[in-house]
Amino acid sequence: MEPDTIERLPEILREYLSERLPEVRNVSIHNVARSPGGNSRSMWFFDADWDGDAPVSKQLMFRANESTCFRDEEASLEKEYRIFRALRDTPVPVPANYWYERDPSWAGEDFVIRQRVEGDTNFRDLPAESQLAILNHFVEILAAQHNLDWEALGLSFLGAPKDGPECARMVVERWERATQRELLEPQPVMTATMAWLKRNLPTEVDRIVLGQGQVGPGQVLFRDDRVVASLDWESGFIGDPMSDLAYLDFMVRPMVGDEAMEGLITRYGELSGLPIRRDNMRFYTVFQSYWAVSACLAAVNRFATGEMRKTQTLVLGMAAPRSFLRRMERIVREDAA
Amino acid sequence: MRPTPAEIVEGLEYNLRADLLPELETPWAKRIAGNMLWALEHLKQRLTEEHALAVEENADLRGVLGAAAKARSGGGALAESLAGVDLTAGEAKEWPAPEELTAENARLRTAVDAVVEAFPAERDAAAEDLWREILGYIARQTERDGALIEVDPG
Repeated sequence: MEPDTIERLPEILREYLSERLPEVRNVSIHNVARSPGGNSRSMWFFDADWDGDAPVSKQLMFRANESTCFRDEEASLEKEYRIFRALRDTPVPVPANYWYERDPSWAGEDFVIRQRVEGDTNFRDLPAESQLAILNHFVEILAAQHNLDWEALGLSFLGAPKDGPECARMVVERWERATQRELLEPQPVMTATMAWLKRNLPTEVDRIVLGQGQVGPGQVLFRDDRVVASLDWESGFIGDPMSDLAYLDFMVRPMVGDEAMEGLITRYGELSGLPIRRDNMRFYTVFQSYWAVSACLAAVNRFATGEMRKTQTLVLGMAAPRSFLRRMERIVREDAA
Repeated sequence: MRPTPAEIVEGLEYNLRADLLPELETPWAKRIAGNMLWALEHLKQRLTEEHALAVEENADLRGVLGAAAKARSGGGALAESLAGVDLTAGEAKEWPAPEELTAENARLRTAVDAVVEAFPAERDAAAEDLWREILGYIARQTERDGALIEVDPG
């Protein structure tokens, strides 16, 4: 967002809520603060008070469409908003999303006003027993998510594969296009990984589900060793459940160790009723790394071309994908050894 | 000229860390200052190491193209697949200017990309050997990039 919009944000929010809530009076906005969390989209926390039948105080969040790494073709704010709305009243805990605004006259770009849920995201520094308690709860949520009837929830707009083989093919084609669009210089590592992905496409998928894309610690808020909100649905998709499980595995295993991770996977299998397909998980470990690097290429592109010359874009584009890149390179190389 | 660009960057890092960061009050401002420290450290690495690493990478890419040319002369499915691919390795200049290195790097990487894309669906031993050559380059390049990017801003 432009500096003058940021400066005027409290007033913009006051006017916006006053217009959206014509039945209330005396809307006031306090404690507007930029959220230091999240890498993709800009967010501000704020408190809002108003008078209606009784005085009301709300803790809210303003999430701008401006993204360091995502393009609307793959991960729009509107898509995320629609998923959040669909997930209300399901076993997946999500913050209430109140408004999605397209009119650029407010803040120069699309934005969402969302409930701000109290909770922590710093999973890494927790004691081991708290980590495991949170992960056990998260696995319950993930299994429930993978049992949702996404068609009945109105989520077919995400693009539903017609069968198992199409699950992987669709996402691979989508992110190959995104990579080609963003590349500013040839990257043989991406070309070779794409060749590996195309040679290893899984065909057996036991259930086509609503996936989150990026799952687990970093994407959830927790409190008292329980998950209280699942965040970041901009990468949501319809496809193979092993994709989410692979992401969880490679993010969590280094923190909790093999024994605990295997226990979580077994529990997920029992709760979801799905067999664990290790080959699919291996494929999606490489794929998830590929798409993370690909999304970061968009940040490099935005920075280098002047579309968004900000250090948060630079750091996300260059430093953030390193662990994904190394993992992707290692697995592809292991297969050739 | 002294101070060198890297020395000047170190001065900027010092002021950011010692004089500006302690004055910052919000988590967002501190995060951005941390990003700036990372960018300065990265810049310092680029100033001191990028040229040598680019020379090394171009030599590595020429090696891959040389291996591909050898595979093409060996016959079989791989040779057939590579028939239309430009495998010109070119000569390394003794004192290349940065822009010459960059242009040559783009050309060589494009050629290696073309080799990867031309790989036959069924791979015989020669194809597997060449694939390992390519992955060897990728592993070494991941390390070279890492030297510039995986920096500790302190």
